[in-house]
Amino acid sequence: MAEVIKNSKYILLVEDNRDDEDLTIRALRKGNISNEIIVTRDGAEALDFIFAQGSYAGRNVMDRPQVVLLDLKLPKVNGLEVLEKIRQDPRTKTMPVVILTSSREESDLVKGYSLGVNSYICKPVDMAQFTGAIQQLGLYWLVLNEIPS
Amino acid sequence: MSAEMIENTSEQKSFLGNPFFRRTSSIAVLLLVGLVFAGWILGRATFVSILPQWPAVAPLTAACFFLTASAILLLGDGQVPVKSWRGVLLALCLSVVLLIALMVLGRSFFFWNLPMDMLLLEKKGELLDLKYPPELPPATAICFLLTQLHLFSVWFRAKFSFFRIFFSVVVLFQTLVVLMAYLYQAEIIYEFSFLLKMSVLTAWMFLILNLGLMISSPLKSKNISWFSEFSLVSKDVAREKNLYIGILVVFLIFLAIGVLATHSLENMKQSFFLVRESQEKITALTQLHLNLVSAETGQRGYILTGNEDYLNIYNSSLQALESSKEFLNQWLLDHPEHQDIIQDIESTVFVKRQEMEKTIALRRNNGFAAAAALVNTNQGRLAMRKIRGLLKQLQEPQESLLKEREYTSVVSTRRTVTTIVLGSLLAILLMAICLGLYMKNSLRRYAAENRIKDLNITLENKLLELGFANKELESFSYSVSHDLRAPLRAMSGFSNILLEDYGPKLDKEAQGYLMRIVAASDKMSQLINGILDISRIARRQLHRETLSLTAIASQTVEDLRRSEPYRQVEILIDPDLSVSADNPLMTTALQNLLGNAWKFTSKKDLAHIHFGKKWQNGREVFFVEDDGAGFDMAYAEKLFGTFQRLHNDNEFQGTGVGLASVRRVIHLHGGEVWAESRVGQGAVFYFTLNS
Repeated sequence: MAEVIKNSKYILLVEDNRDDEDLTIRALRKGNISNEIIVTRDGAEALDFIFAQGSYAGRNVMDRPQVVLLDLKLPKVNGLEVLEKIRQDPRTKTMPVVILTSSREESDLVKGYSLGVNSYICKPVDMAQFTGAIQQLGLYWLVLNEIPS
Repeated sequence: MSAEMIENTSEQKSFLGNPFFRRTSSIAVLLLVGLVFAGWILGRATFVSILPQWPAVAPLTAACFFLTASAILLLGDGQVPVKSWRGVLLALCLSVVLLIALMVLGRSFFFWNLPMDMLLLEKKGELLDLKYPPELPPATAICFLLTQLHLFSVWFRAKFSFFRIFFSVVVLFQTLVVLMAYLYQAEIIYEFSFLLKMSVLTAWMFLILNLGLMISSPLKSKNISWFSEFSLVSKDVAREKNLYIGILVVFLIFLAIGVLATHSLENMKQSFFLVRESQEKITALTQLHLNLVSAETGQRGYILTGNEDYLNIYNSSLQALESSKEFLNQWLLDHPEHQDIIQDIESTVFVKRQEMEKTIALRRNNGFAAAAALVNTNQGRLAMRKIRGLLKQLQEPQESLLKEREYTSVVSTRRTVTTIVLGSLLAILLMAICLGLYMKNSLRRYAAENRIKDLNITLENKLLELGFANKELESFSYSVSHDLRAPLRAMSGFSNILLEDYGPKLDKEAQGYLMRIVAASDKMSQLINGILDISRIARRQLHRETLSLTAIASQTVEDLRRSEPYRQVEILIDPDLSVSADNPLMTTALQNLLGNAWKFTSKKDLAHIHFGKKWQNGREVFFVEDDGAGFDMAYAEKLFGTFQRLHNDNEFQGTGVGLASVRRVIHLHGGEVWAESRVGQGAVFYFTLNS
């Protein structure tokens, strides 16, 4: 169970694959992004965290992450369903969500954007490219981008 | 002409008329002709006319049948070119018979004097003691005429099959009536001799021939091309046609029965009338005698008793005699040969009357004895006897005539009844057969329809299966794109991390190994992308729209330039290259082709690439030309194979999937793709699209 963190920008990473998790975090750190990274390992856990229920009950829902990095292929509840739920709730509707996934399938792209995702990034296999992409991501969403408080 | 096209396929034979039936019937007719000729040569009347009182088959008729049957056999399946020897023979046979028929008809209608029959008979002098001299009667001529017309129309594939059928129907009707007439020995043939006089054998031969012709008759209609698409149906159509022919024959039989029965009824009426006439005559004669006897009785009574009452009978009888007198006058008119007898009767009756008058007067005036004396002279008795004898002379022939006529009327009645009953039975039998055929046909049709339904269901199921297979393929690709890439990423990523974090601690060899792991993962990723691209192309449904290839190419080139901005490449794209094709697929194809051109010119300082269109062999051909490395034409076959490469990775990187994708796309559009090259002098890739 994560601790309650007030007023500091943190990133929510929803990723089931340990390898990808480690690589992503390493890439962010390598890019000098030192914000806290909270990891949930499946769609259900992600929803519990975001809406402060289940094992995360007691958390302040309005304490929203700076950005949600969302993988699509998740156990229990998949990424697109999580996105849908996020967009349906007025409290979390405006949360920036970036889909970070291996799939370049047209159908996923279309569905993601029609559900209102902010950005869709494909995870490249090449390490350098991957690191570069993550760093760009991090810089953009944590530093450049503004969100309502 | 689509009708001709269809006749050339053997499948359509049964539908176009199976010549088997008319061939069989012409062979049967030839056998009968042989019989007739044998009859004439050997002098056997039965072969020629069956019964001696029936008309015989003239040798000329037999010869005409021979020619007609031969013509049918020459005709074969109906395709005889006019210019061949077969065609000439065929034309000869048909024309000769036609000519003879016309001559006979001319002789009957216009009384031309043509001694044809005698020509063929000179050889056989004896006429075999037949009732009718052998000749080709007009009825036979008509039948020959119609049969020849039928055959001509089959040969020249005349358009309107209706007339063919009509000809045969008329002939069939004629022959059926004739045969029935023979069967029941109706005298119709002698009375309607113009239409119906023909020999039994002739009638049979026409019947066989025309039935064969009708069943073999080709069907032709405007809808022929529609029929030909369903070979399942075409045989049924032919069978149905025969069914209709059967029904038609039944109808004709009923018609024939009707004609014969009407005539028979007329005969019956006639014979009843005649019987009554004879009876009346006999009755009148008897009445005459009776009147005389009654008068005599009255006379005798009066003479015996003197009672005036007896004279009443006497007077009334005498009065009745008056009508007998009229009757005798009528008889005289009808039978002038009996003049003597009738005069005799009249005079004798007069004598008798005189005698009776005298005796009565005597009795009245002079009493019994005087009257009796006169009676005793036997004048009266002799007169009576004479009258009786004379009347008998008249009566006897009349009685035998009556017997004859009664017999005739019985026969006539019996004949009418038999005609109607047997004919109806025959027709009912035929109808039963037709009904059976119809039911069989219906069952066959139901079976065919069921089969079609089953086939449709199977088809739908197969389509469903295909749909499922496609869906599975999609989810397979989906999995591939996710699940295969993740481990690759881990392999590549952690190897890199090792290199970064522990690089200094590792020796060159170890570093080399790690780099090769990374390289291999990258390669695998590319291959996966290649496979996904190809499978996406195969799965896609072609969605054509008007595209500008110029625009797509320009976009691709911009992307290429952006990826390697330092390269010097001159690219020429022809303007206004527009086609009707699928947008994403064509984009992929062009990206691959232009990407290849870009890649294989990478070793040149200044490269040239040209994308355009030209005309080759009358069709529009697009090309992508470059002056890069080129390839050996000896391996041109392998160029478009999946994962096939003609260079190794050191020279030019690649997966070997690009051109395979291009070929897929072009083939999906119905086009072709090929290439020409010389090593070191660039390459040209051509493709066509079926717009």
